[in-house]
Amino acid sequence: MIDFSQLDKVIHERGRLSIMSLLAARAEWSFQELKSELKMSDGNLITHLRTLQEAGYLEMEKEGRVTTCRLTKAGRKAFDGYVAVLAQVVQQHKG
Amino acid sequence: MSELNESAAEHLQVIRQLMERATVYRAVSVPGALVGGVMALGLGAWQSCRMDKQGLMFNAHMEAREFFWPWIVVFFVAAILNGCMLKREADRRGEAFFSSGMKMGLGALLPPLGIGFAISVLFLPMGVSPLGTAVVWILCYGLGLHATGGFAPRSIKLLGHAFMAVGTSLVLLWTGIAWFAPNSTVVQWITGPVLMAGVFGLLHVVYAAGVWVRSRKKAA
Repeated sequence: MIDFSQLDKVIHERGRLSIMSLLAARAEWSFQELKSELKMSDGNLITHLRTLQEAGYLEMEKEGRVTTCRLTKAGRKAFDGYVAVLAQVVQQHKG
Repeated sequence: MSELNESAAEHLQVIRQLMERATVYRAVSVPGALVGGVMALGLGAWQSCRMDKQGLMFNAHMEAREFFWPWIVVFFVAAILNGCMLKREADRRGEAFFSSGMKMGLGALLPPLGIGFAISVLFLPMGVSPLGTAVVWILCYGLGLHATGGFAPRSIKLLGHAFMAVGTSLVLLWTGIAWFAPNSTVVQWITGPVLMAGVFGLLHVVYAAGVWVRSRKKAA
């Protein structure tokens, strides 16, 4: 039986899930790249990034005018775990 | 349970699409490759006929306006067409034309292409060697495609490897001939225009056909 409490509520929100997916696929994304790729407003993106940062899943680094975002080890582990639980749900339904 | 399953499947789909978008970018569109390839075959055939009439063979030099500039024009026409196709595909997917994938693609392709252009321009005042120019362009284009390897689909990587393999083989072949059989007539039929048509033309057409067949199979 699947333990649904394993589904990470921080990642489960659609906007944050999108950010985590992009960061899981490519190591570093600038704030502007994330904004353009996800078509989010500055305010919305900052809010999601801060939530992920507070959860310890993401780190941001500012160099000059460019803010770069990347996953932390905890973020990578949480994302992999989240995907594994989703896959388990789908697999169990098929079985 | 079914609602949860649907939600899980939907979330997995979002993750997959975003990760693919972030990691896979096809910088050479199939229609762009096909039209560019056909143009290369046409120009190569036309130049070969002219070379033949003029009796120019293996190491011959041509006027820049006869070899160099027509290929530059074909390159820009093909590049503009490719850009239009990529724009259309980006619009269809609801993405920006200058997406992160496009920027990565340009970042990988432009330096080798620029260097290839610069090398060939450097030799313009000495008279254009179609063969040498073709080999430089083939190698630089192959390197450009190879540089997109980190995020390009497999077909583009293979195309890049084919260009590099042909270019390197030609350099080795001609070096070998120059050293060991300078009077050999074996490869005299391989001229610059033949190379441009055979490599740029044929490989792009094969690439376009291969990707098209594969996408049809996937859709079926």
